[in-house]
Amino acid sequence: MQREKSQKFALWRRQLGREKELWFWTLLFLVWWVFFFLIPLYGIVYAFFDYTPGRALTLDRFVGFKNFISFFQTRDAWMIIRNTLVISTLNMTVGFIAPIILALQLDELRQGLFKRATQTISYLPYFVSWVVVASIVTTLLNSDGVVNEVLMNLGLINKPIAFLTTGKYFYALITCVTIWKSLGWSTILYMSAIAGIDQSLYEAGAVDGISRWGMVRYITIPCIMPTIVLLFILNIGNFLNLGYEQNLLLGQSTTQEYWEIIDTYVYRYGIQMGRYSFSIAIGLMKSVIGLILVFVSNAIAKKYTEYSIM
Amino acid sequence: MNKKRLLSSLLAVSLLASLTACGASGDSAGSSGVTDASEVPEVALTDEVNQYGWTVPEETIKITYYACDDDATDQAEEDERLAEVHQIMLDEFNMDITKQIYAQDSTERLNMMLAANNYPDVIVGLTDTMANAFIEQDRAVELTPYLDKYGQDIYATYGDYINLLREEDGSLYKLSSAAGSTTDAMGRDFSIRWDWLQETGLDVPNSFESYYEAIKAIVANHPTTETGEKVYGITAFSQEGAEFYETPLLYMGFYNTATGIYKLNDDGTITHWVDTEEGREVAHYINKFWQDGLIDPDFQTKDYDTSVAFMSNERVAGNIGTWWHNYTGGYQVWMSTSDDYNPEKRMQELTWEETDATPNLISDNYIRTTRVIITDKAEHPEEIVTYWNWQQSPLAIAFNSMGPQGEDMAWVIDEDGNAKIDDRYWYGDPDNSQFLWGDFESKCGSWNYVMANPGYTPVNRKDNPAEGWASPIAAVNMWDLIPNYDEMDKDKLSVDQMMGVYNEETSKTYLTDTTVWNTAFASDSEEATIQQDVKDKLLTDWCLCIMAETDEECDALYDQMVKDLHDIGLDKLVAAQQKALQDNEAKLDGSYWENSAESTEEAAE
Repeated sequence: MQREKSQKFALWRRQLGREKELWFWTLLFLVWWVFFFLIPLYGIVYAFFDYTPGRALTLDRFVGFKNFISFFQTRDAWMIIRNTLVISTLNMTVGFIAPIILALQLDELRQGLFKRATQTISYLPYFVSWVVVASIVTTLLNSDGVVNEVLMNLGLINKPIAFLTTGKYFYALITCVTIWKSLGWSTILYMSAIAGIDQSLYEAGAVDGISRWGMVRYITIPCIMPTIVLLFILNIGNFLNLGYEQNLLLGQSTTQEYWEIIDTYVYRYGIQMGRYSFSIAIGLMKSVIGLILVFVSNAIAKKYTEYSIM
Repeated sequence: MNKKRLLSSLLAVSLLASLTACGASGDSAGSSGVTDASEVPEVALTDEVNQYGWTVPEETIKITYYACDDDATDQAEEDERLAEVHQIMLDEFNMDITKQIYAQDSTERLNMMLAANNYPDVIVGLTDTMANAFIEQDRAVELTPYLDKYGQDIYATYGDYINLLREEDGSLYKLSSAAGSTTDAMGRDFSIRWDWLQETGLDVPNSFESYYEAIKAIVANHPTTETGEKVYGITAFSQEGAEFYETPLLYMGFYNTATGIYKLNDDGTITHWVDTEEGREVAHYINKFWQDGLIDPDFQTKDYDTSVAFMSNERVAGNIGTWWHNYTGGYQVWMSTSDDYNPEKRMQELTWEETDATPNLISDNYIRTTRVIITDKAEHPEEIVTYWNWQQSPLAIAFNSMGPQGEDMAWVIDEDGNAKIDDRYWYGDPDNSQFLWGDFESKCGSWNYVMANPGYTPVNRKDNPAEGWASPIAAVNMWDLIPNYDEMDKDKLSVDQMMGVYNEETSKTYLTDTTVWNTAFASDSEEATIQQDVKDKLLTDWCLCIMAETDEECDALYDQMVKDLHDIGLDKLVAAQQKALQDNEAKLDGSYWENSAESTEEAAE
C-alpha cells in the first residue's frame, strides 16, 4: 500500500516536472482567479444583512431574504422583469443567430482582401463606447436625423417618426443597436470554427454535386454545431445580465416603461442610493438564475444533441 | 466524503472570516469626547498677524481634507494648481493643508472610507445623508465646544440658521460647506431672441400669454435658419422637460425644494404642484407650444452640450429655464465666434409677476445642501475650527477665492486694509471672454483650501457685508463678484458685462429664503424610494402630458399623472416635507427644543 502511494507520488512529480511551464502559466491565472473571483464571493453574505458601510455585520442586522423580497414589492417589479425577459430573449434569439449568419456569409466571400477588410470593419463597433454609440443613434434617429429624412424623401412618411421617444420602438431599437455593436466581434469564434472544418468534406460534397447552400446546410452548420451549443450555453448564463449603460443612454422619460430593466433599476435604486445589500441581493439572484439556466440548457443540449459542456 | 467535509469546512471558515472582516472595520472609537468649551485645548498662537488677518500659530497646523467633487479630475493637477498657494500657506500662515480629491462619485468614495475606517481629518461638500452616516456612527466631532471657544465669527455668519444644522438633541456635528444668502443674481427666467423680437414689432412680453404670442410670431418670421434647419420656440436643457413646469410654477410663487415643487397655502400647509389648478394651467400652457409645433420634438434627447449647440445654432427663439442657458448657449458663443458681434443678437431675460403671488425665481437656501464635518481622525479639532473662523473674514474670502494679493494679481489689500479688486480683473480682460474671471483663475488659483467659507454674502453678520470691499463691488461670494453697475464706468464694461446691464432692463431678481424647506431622507428609507419613484414617474407622465395632440388628451393625461403619483405614495412625501418644514421653522426660532423638552417632561410624568 505504502509502496503504491510512493509510486503514485513519484509519477505525479515526474509529470509535474514535464509540465512545469504549463503549470506555471496556469498558476498565474489560478492566483488571479482566486483573488479576483473566489475571495470576493464572500461578499454575498451582505445580501442577507442590513448593511451600512462602516458598521459591523452583527446578527441583529441579519434580515434574511428581506432584500430579495423587497425587489418584488417594488412598484414596477413586474414591468422591470418583463422588460428584462423581452430584451434578453431578443438578444438570445435574434442577437445569437445574427453573428452565425454573418460568419457563414463571410465564409462565402472568396476575395481575400475584401473578406479581411469586411471582417475588420465589422469588429470596430465593439470597441466604440456606449456613450458614442448612443450619440450616433440619437443623431441618426432624431426628428431631423438621416433616417427620418430618407423616409420623408422617399414619401414613406409625411411627418418624422419619434423613434427615440416612443415606447413601442424601444425593444427593436435596443436589440438592433446591441446587435450592431457586437455582431462583428461575436463572429470571431464562429469564423475560427469554420476555418477548422476539414476541407475534404467540401471536396466530397462537390463530388456528390451539392450546391453552395447544401454545403452550408450539410457540412458547415453541422461542423460548427458544437461551437454554437457551447456559446449558447455560456451565453444563457448571462441571460439576465444586460448591463445598464445602453438603456440609460438610449432611454427617455417617455420610454421608461420599456427600458427599465433589472440592471438599470439596481443601478439607480441600489448603487446610486447607497443600498448596497439590495444591489448584492439582486446580483446574487441573477447569478443563481443564470447558473440554473446553464445547467438546464446543458441538460437539454445533452439530451437532444450530442453536445454539452459538462 | 472527506472532500465534501473539507469543502464545507472551508466554506464555513470563509463565511466566518468574512463576517469577522466586516466587523473589523466596525464602529470606531468615537469623537473627541470634549463636551464643554473649557475642555477644549488652547491653540498656541504667536503675536504675529499676517497681512490676511490670520494669527500665525507657533507650531505648523496640519489638516488633511477630502473635498467631495463629482467633477474632480486628477490629484496631481490639483496639487500643481495649488502649489503656489500651498507654499504661501506654509510660509505666511504656518499651515500645511492637504486637499484630497478623487475622480469618483463622492458617495461611493465616502462609503468606501467608512467601510475601510480610513478617512481624513475633515470632509468637505458631503450631503446631509452622508454626513448623517458619519454622525450616526460616532465618527464626527461635536462642534459646539470648539465653536464656543474658537468659532465666534462662524456663529455670526450663521445667526439662527445654525439651529437648522443641529441634531434633535441640540448637538452640532456639521456645518454648511458654503453658508450664506445669495446675492442679487439672475435666476430662473423666460428669455427671448431680442433682435428677432424687435423685428416683430411686439412689446416686450410680460405674461405667459404674451410670451407665447411673441415666440409664435418670431418662429413665423424665422421658420428656418440660414442653413435651412427648422427653428423652434423652445427646447429643453438637460432636464428632459422638467424646466417646462418648474420655471413657470416659480413665476407663480411656488417653492422649489429637493422633494418637489410646492404651493404654500395661507394656513401654512403645503400642496404638491400637481394637485393645484396652477399646475394644470401650466401643463396646458406648455402643451399649446407643442400643439403649435413650437417645442423641439427631440427635447427629451437633449443633453447640456447638444442644447448649447442647438441654441447657438439659432434653432430656438427663446428659452424657459435659467439665465445660464442663455449665457452659455447664446451670447458667449456668438461673442467668441464673431469678429463684429452685435449685442442686439442676444437672449434677453424677462421676468414678470404672473399672479398675485410673488415669484420665487431664486431659491435662497442659506445653509445650502452640502456639509462639512471634522472626523474622529482629527487630533486637533480646535486648530481646524480656528482656521474655519478666519475663513469668515472678507480678506479670507478674497484669498480663498482669488489667490494671494499683489500688484500683478487679481486683488490687493489697500491702505485701509480692505480688499480692492484690480480693474483688469473687474472689467475683464478684452482678450479673454471668460465670464468675470479672465485668466486670473489659472494664474492665482481659486477655491483654495475652502472648507467652511461663506458661499454667499452673509446677511446677518454684525458688520455690513460689503464692508471691507472696495467699490464697485456690491457683494462678493465664493463664486461671483456681483457688479454694482451704478458705480462702474460703463465705457469700461466688457460686452458680457453689458449683458448684465441689458438684462436688468427687463428682468428683476425675485429671491426667496427657502432655507426652512431643507430636508434629507436616509437612503434606505421609504421616503427616499418614494421620492425617486415620484421623480421618475412625474417626468414620464409630464412629458406625455405636454406632448398631447389635443386639449382633452392633455387633460386626461394630467389626471392620469395625478393618479399615478398618488398611487406611488405622493401623500407620504408631502407629509414628510410638511413635517420637515414645521420642524425647521421650530428649530429656527428655537421652539423645537422647548417642545422636545416639554414632551420629555410629559413622558416622564
